[in-house]
Amino acid sequence: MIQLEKVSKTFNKGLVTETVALQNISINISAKEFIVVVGANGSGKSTLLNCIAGNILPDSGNIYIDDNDVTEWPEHKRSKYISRIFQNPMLGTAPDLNILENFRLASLRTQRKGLHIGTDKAFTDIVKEKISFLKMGMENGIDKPMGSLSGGQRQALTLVMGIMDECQIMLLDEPTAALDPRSSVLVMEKAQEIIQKHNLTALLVTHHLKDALRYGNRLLMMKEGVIVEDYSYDQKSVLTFEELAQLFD
Amino acid sequence: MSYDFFLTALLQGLGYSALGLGVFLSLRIFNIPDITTDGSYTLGGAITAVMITGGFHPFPTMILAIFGGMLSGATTGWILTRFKIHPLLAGILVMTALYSINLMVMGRSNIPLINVNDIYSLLPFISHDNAVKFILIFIVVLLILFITWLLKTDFGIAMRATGNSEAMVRSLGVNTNTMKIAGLAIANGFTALSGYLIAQYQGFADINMGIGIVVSGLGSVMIGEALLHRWMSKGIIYNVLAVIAGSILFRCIIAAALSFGLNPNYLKLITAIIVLFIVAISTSKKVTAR
Repeated sequence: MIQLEKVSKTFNKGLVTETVALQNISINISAKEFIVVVGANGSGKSTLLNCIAGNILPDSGNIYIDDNDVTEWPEHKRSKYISRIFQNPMLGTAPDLNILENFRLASLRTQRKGLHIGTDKAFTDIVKEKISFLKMGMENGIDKPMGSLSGGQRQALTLVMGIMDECQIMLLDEPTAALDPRSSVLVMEKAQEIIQKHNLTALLVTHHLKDALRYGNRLLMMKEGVIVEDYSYDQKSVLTFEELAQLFD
Repeated sequence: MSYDFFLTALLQGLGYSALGLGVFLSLRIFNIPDITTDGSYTLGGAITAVMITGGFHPFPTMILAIFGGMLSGATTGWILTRFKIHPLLAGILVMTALYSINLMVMGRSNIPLINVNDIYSLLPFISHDNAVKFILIFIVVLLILFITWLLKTDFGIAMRATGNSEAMVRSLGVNTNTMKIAGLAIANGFTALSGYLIAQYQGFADINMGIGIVVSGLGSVMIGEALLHRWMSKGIIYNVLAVIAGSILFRCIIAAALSFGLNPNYLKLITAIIVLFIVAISTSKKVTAR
């Protein structure tokens, strides 16, 4: 589904602040794999995600999605495959627009946004039904501005927004980092459910090692721009929290 | 202060509504402070004066004036997205360039519009005064319908989201650069329409008619928002109506200031102070609310 071939990225090249984020990364991600990426701050895991999403272009190497060379594709073009869940719930939604309008945009991720009023009764019903899947009662207030909701609510809605249009890849960049423990569990459970139900290929970047062990079927560990460990599902399932934590030293 | 006095302010306010809506689009919907406005407003007036005195019908004149404004806005949008420079700088560059272009269009610095067939002479069966009222109201109603429709379409939702959460919009497959260019084009098309309406209303186009006009637009938007705060209403239609109410109120305030014997030379100073005053009120409200 996704192939990276010798992808490298250095920020601020030639300056004192030069940082090597990715060094010759090659990886093959098959369809329906749910990969969890862990690593210390600055290990390059977010850059990896951003390179796949296309908001960062690599210095060298190639990226393939669904056998297309997308290396030079801008983010909005790649979005035909990818939906993203951001770390900051504010980034994934438009706060001044209401829930319905946010969903309308999400439902057109791979399509043209034309001069047509699409927020009609039929669409409203579809959105209500999709939101009711979350069982958080938000389907009764879809004319509320997104900005009036809590971070957990917004992040949960972003997950559903991700699958409003056809979607094959979901990228989750520390989706629970800004949430309280209860919302975190809820969002992660819903994410897992959605990824499985829709057969998505997913990448989750996280600092929560418990989440890293609990979710996904492949685990990558990054250090200084390199993938240092690559655990398959079987290897991952026997891995303990302590063993994983030790890898950070 | 007579009835006529405020009627004039009301009509001017209607004429400037398009300008207010243009500033509302760029500043509030796209979050871009766009001062192309000063140039595109004059351009609208310049094209109008040249074409009307050249004997053209007011309708093709209107279309060309709006088109001129849209082209100016698109240029600013292109500069700011292509070269990734600050919107204010992009706007200043285009505004400055437009000064020469406007002179080129007009051929001289002032063109009077007297005894010409302008848009207000399109209704010969009613008195001229009534025709002015009717036509201005008609155009403003059309504008309200157009902009509320536009902002509700899928394209309009994408526009609003671009100024609100750019990262999200890009991840949803929207080319935000194209959106900004289109948005500034529409905003400046509105502004040029104001230039078209006002030039014919006041009976001349002048190379300096646009100086500081962006501040009037800002004033309209902010007065509108202050009103909206009172009404506690939400929804696009209320925002749009508030801008128009703001535009009319702003003209009334100016008219009142002039009627107290203010020297018209101080008008820009007073305008700036009024807008500063409105900004100060709205921010101090926010502070006390916390």
